[in-house]
Amino acid sequence: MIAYACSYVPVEIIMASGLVPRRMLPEGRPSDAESHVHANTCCYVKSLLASALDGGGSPFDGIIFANSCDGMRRLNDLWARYVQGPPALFIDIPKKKDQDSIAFFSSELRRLADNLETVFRGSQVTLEGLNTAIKRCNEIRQLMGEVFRRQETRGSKVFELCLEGSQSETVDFTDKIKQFLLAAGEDKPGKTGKRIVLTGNAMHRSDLITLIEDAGAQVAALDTCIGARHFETLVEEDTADPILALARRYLLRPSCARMLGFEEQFQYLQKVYEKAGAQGIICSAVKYCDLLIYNVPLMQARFRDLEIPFLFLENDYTWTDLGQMRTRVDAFLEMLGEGKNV
Amino acid sequence: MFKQMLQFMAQQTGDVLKEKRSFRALWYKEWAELFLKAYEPDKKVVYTSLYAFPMEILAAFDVIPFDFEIAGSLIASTEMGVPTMLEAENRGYSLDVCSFHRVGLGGFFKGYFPQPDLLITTSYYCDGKAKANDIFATMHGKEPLLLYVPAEVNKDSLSYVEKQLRQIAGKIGEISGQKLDEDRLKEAVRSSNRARRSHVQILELLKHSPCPWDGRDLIGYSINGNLFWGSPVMERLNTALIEELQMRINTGKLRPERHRVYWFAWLPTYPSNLFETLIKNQVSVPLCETFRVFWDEINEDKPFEGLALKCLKNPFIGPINRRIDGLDKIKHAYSIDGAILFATPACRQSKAAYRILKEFVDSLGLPFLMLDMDIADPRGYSPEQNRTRIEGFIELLENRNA
Repeated sequence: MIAYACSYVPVEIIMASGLVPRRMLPEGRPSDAESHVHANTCCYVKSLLASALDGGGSPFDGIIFANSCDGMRRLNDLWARYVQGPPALFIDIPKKKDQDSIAFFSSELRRLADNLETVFRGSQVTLEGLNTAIKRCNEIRQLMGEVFRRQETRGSKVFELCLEGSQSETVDFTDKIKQFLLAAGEDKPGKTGKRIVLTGNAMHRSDLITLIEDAGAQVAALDTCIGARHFETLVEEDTADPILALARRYLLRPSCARMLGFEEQFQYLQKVYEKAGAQGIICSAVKYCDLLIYNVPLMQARFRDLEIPFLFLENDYTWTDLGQMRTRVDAFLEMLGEGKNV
Repeated sequence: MFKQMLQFMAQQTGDVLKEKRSFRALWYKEWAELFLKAYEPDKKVVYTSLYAFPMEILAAFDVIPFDFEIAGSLIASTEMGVPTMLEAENRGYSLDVCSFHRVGLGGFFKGYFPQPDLLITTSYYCDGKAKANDIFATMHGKEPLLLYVPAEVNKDSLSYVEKQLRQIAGKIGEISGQKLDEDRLKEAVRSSNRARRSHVQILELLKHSPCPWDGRDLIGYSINGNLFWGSPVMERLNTALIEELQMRINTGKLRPERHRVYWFAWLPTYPSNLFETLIKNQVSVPLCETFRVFWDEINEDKPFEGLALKCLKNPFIGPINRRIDGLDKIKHAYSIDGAILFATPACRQSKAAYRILKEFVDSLGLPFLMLDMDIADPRGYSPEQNRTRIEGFIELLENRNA
């Protein structure tokens, strides 16, 4: 089993090497890593390190880190130095989407494919293996697209499904989504509640979604890195160069805040909002995520100009401050009810 | 207000230079005058990260470089720093955003800065600068340009960075109305190589004990002196500095010195007792990591490849071990007996894995101080707490020598 910690890692290559990918979503215990990493570091990164320092990384045969952000880059350093456990690989991911960046990223992915065989003892990555893995993942993307499109089920249930997907084998997950779609509609959210887009970064628990639902609203779109954004955009199938097809899909899919292009990210979120028929946006960020905290004020100002209410909430990845969050969410929803902009 | 500050700086340093030769005055004068040109109506202004982007490329065009971080550092050195940061904070930029960027953003909101024609930055040193550049570009209605420099040096990354540099040169050409003049770029590279040689000479002089240079100026020049790579100004500055250091060594006009520390990362831009405390205790800073020469001379016949390599070899890219490579040799060559990491809160790329730096310094038998202190925001600054920490560190240096 091979762990990865960023949605930009192409799981298809791991699968094509005969290994099983698993998204690392550790329990929130950032302070347990602070003897090794500066306290003022992303709480998700700290929790990842904490989980490994006490052997939490042991179920894995290897870890793949990506140059997603400064925090992950430093986690790779700390892992190599302090974690007794599975070997780690590091891949670079450009922050741009042009042809040269795609070409460079594909060279990184070829290196990853080689390393999966030599370092992680996977099987040789073949054209056939890659095309099969791409088809399996595309099927999941299409099915999940259906889940997100229908919006018939409670956001918390959809989130739980996403979470399950990050921890399941593709065949099992495909079946689960099919079952989920069959059962969809049995647990419909109330029609009266305000519809909210939840956007943001790493989230491993549904507390915030449940909190929003308990307050009488519904999460109509889940634009997070294990949510809809993770499943958007298919990989081109049956090409002569599937690695290049993967590089293209992973860089061209809707961006997270790590990528260059505020304008594109803003417009994408606006579309998500419109498509969901939502009345407000809640942006949730893990504390010390520079990528999001730089975006948010301008995002907020631009949405204010469009009279789209926007609420920014930070969490320390432990979700122990839900009381405060509830007050802010309640106030936000109340303002939506009054038609006020936030 | 910022323009007036630059005018005052140019005037004051000009007055000093009429009276005497002074590297410091020359450096500040060149800096102020170059930034002032960015306010002239007919000039094409390129915002960039002058400490990271290969400035030799800009030197090959008739454009004026400007850096809102470095401009912000000047503002933060005055009492206008906090009010300027508040402009950004009041618009939602949290205190977790680097204070350099808060003051830069505040400067934008206050209308202090010249209008950019192009905004280019690099993926290193930090995520924050790339994000801030993106935000600035959006607010100015311009396309943000990013030079993405991968963590590993190999043929693919070299080719990728080289291609990006060519594209960026093309964009600079578009806004400046000039085609890239290969000869001019070659000359910029030649100048850069000459400046690199004089830089190496400065490094040799810094081995002298007592140290002939002020640590604060060393760190400052190691960052914003990069503004002039590729320009004859850099050569002039280095020559002036060499003369001055040589003169101090020859005349023996040097500060007494009991300890020599190696410096990681940056320095506070607002008034503080940091260097005053070090000087009072006869501690000098003969070398900082940002003044090390990590790149080879650039092949003038392959300028883009050479500049791409210069970027790729920057120690702030890739694994943190690059920052400590060769430190064992430096310890002996510069007679280092301790190290300080200046750890400003938002500089997560630098300090998140501080423990690795510390353990390496420990393994060399040297005391290490991580100084948690903001780079531009004085609101959390406590002189007494700072003094206590530095003096505690100096005690360790004393004990080691004892």
